[in-house]
Amino acid sequence: MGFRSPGLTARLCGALTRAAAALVPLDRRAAFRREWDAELAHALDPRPPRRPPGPWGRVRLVYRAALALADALSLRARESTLDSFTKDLRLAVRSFGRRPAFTALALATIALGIGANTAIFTVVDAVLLSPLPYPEPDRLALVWEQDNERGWDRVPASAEDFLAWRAETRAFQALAAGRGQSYALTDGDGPPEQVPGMAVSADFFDVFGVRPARGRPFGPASNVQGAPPVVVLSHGLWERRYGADPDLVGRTIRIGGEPVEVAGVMPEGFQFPSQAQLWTPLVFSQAQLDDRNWHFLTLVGRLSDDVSVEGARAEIRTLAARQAEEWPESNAGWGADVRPLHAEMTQSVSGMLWVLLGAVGFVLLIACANVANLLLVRAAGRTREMSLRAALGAGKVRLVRQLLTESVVLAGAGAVLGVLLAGWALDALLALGPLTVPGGGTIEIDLPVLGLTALAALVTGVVFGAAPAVAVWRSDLQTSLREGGRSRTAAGGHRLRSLLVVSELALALVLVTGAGLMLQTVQRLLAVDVGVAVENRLVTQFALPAASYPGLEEQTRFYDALLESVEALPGAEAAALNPWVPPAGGPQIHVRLEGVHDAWTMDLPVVRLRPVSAGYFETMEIPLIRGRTLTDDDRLGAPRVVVVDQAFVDVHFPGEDAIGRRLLTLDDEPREIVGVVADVANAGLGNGSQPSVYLPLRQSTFGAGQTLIVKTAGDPAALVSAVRQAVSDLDPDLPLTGIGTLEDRVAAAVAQPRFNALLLGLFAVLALVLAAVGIYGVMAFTVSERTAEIGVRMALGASAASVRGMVVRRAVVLAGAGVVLGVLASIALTRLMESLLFGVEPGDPRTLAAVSALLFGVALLASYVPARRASRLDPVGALRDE
Amino acid sequence: MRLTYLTGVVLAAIEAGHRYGFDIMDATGIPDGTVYPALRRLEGAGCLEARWEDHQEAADHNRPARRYYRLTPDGRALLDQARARFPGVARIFGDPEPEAG
Repeated sequence: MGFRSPGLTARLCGALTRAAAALVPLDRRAAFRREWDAELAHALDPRPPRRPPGPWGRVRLVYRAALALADALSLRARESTLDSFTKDLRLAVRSFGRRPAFTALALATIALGIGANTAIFTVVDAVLLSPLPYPEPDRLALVWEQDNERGWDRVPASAEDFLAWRAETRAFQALAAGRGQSYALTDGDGPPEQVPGMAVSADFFDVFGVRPARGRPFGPASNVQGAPPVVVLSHGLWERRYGADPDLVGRTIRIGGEPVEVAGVMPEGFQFPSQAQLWTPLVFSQAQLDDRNWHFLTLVGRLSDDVSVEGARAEIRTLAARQAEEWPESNAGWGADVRPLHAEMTQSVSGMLWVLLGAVGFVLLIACANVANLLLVRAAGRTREMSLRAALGAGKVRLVRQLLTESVVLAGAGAVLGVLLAGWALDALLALGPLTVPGGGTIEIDLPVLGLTALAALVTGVVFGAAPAVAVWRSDLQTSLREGGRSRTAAGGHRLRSLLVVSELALALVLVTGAGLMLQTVQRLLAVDVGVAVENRLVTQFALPAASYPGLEEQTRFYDALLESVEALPGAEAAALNPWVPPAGGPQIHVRLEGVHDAWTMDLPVVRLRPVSAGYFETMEIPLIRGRTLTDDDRLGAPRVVVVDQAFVDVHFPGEDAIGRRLLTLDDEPREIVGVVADVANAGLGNGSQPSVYLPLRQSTFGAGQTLIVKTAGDPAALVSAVRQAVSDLDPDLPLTGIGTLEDRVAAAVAQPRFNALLLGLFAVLALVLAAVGIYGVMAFTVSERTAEIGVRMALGASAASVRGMVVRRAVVLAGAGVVLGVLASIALTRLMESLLFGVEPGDPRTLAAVSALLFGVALLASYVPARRASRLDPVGALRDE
Repeated sequence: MRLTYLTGVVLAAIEAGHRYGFDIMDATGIPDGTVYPALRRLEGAGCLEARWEDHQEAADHNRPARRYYRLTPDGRALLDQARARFPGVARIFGDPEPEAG
C-alpha cells in the first residue's frame, strides 16, 4: 500500500519525465522519452540479480526523474532561440539555487502542506468518495426498523417484517436479509479458528450483483429447515486457510463440528459486512418466525430502476404502518427507514475524516501564507534586481510572469516532495489507524489524487506568488532604482505581510483548539471508571457449537470443567464467564416486573441481560450493595434468581427494597431478585451504565458465546498459552478468539478518539511551527528594514530595553489580532466536531483560554530573537551602512 | 568543445565502461542534473556517439532498450587533453580499460 509499492515511484517518475518531454523539441522528443523510460525501467527492475530500490533509492530515482527537466532544457537550449518561458524557468531555478536556506525552508513548508493534504485526501477519496465495488452501487440501501417511542433508529428487522416487506415491495427489485454471526472452523486444514460471517437469504448475492468467482451461490432451496448445509467462502479465507485450493468447491469442510459443502468462493474484494469471511444460508427457526419482537436481521436491498432512496423510504414506511395496524401488540409505534449503503458503511468514520480534511486544508492555507510571506520578504530584497531589469527594458508583465513562474516552480518541486512524504505518511497512518475501505479495497495514492495534488500545487503557486507579483506591479521601479533599491517595493507588502501572519495565527489557533478538545476527549474517556477491576485480567472468547453441546447440561459440564482447570493453573487466582465483558454493550432485552407489567409488550423496560458464572462479581471485583451474589447452588432445579445493578433499582424501585421482588425474562419464568451490585460501564466506554440483570449461567439457555475472564497474580499475558492448553485439553476443536488483557480491550475502545487526537495534534503542531516561523520572519524583516531608524534611536540614547519593547509591541499587536480572530473562528468551527467529543464542549472556554495563551506565548517567543538582535545593534555601524 | 573538469569526468566514466546515463551518474558522483546536459553537449560536438541497445537483449530482460554512449576518436583526444589538464580526471577511474561494445 502507499509508498511500499514501486508502482507509485514508477508513476511519479513517468509523470515527471513526460512533463519534461513536453519541453523537448519535437524531432527529439520520442528519443528523449525512450531513453529516460528505459533508464527508469532498468533502475526499477526488481528481478534478480537486481534488487528493487529501497525507500531512499526510490527518492533518488524520483529526484533523477525530476532532473529530466534539466536535460530537456539543455536540449531545448540547443535550438537556437530560447523562448521566454524557458528563460523564466532557468532564471527561476538559478535564483533559487542562490538562496539555499530560503529555498529549503519554502520547499519544506510546501511539502508538508501538500503532503499532509495528499495523504488525508487519499484516505477520504478511498473511504468516502470512491463508489462501492459493486455494479450500480448507488442503488444499494440498508433497511432498518425504528422504534419511534424510544427514539431508536437502526434497529434490525424481525423475520416476519422482513418476509412481509420482501413480498410486497416494489421499490426494491431485490431485498435480502442477513444475520452476522461467528463461525468455528474445525476442519483439519488449520488450527480451530473462529471467523466472522453472515447467514444470508438466497438473493443476498443478487442484491450486490456479484457472483462467486468459483462455484455457485446457494439458491432458495438452501434457506429451508433440513436442507443440506452449504457455505460460500470469501476470497481471503479461501487463500489463507485453504491455500487457494482450486478443487475446494464441492468439498466438505467442518463448521462448528458439522460437515458443510463449499458451494462457492467469492471474488477478491467482496466483503459485506465489513469483516465477513464466509456466508451460509439463513434458515428461520419457528421461534424466530413466531416472535415479531425478535429483531435480528440486517436488511440490504437493491432499488428498482427510477426509484430513489426517498421513494423506497416512503414505500417501506407505508408497509411498516400497515403492519403496525395489523400487529399492534408487537409493531405499534414502530416505523422503518431506508439509508444509502455507502453512507451507512462509512458513517462511523466520515465525521472524523471530514474534520481531518478540514484540518489539513488549514495546514495548507497556513503553509501558503508562510511561503507568500517568505516570497514577499525575498521580493523586497530583490527590488534592485527588478529595477535593473526594468531599466534594461523588461516590461512589468514580463517581471510579474517571472515571479509567478518562480513560485509555480517552487510549488511544483514542493509538491513532488510532498507526494513522497504523503506516501510515507499514508503507510504510517494505515499502520496506526482504524481505517478500512467499505466493501474491501486498498488505500493508495492513485492518478486522480496525483492530479489533484498537481492542481493544488499550481493553485498554491499562483496564490502565494501573487503577493510579490502584485507588489511589483504596483511599484514604481524607476524611483526605486534611484533610491538605491531600498525596500520601497514592499511598502504595500508591509500590510499584506501583517495580514498573512494574523491569518496564520488565527488558523493555527483553530487547529490547536481542535487538537486540545480531542486530547481532552481521550483523557476523559480513559478516566471513565469501568466499574470492574481491569488490571491483571486475561480475557478470551469462545462459542460452544450446538452440535457437540446441544443443551444446558452439556454446556454446564464444559463450563464447570473449564473454570476448574483454569483456576488450577499456576498464576491464576480466579476465573469467571460472562458473554459481554465491560465496557462491551451486548444486546438489550425486555423484562417484565411481576405485579407491574401484565403482558409482553414492546413498551416494557429494556435491560442489558447477562448470564454469568458464580464467581463473576468476585472475579471482576464488582461491589455487592445488598443481598447476595450468585453461587454454584443457583443451578437448574433450584429456585430461579437474578442479581440486578443499582441503575436497575434506581429506575424501577426508587426508594424501595428490590430484594425479593420478581421479574420475568426471555424464558417467561419468574425470577427473584436476590442481590444488588454496583453499576459498571455496559454500553461502550463513555456511554454510562444502563440497567443490568445478571442471571446464573446454570439457569440460562441464553446463547452459547462466552468470554472467559481469568484473574491472574502477575502479568496476564504470561498465562495465554496455559489457558489455550487448558481449553484444548477439554475440547481440541474449540477455537479461542480475542485472547488478551482486559486493559488492552478497554484501551482499544479509545483507539478511534486517540487516532483523531494524534492526527489533529500533529497538524496543530505543524500549524504552530509554521505560524511561529511566519511571525519570526516578519519581525526579523521588520528589524532589518528599520535598522537605520533603530540606529538613530539608539544613537539618541534609546535603551536596549526600549528597542526590544518596540519590536515586541508590534508582535503583541499581531498576535492579539490573530488570537481574537482565531477564538471567534474556533467557536464557530469546533461545533462541527461535536459528535467526536466526549466530556468536553466545543468552544470550551478553558481550552480556548489555554490555547490562546499558548499561541500568544509562541508568538512572543518567535519575536524575541529579532527583538534582541535589534537591541544589540551597533548604532554607528547601522548608520554607516546607510 | 569547451574542456571542463566535468566533461573530462564524463568522458573518463564512459571510457571506463559506464555506458548508460544512470550508470554514468552513479559512477561519477557529479550532480545528477548536470550529467545529461553534458552528454548532449559532447554528443553534439561529435565527441560521443550514441546507439540503442540490442532489442533482443532488452526484450530478454523484459524492458525497453537503453541508449548507450561510446567515445569517438575526437572524444578520446578530448579525454587525453582533460587528463593532462586536470590530474583529478587522470586518477578517477584508474588505468583505462579496453572499451567494450
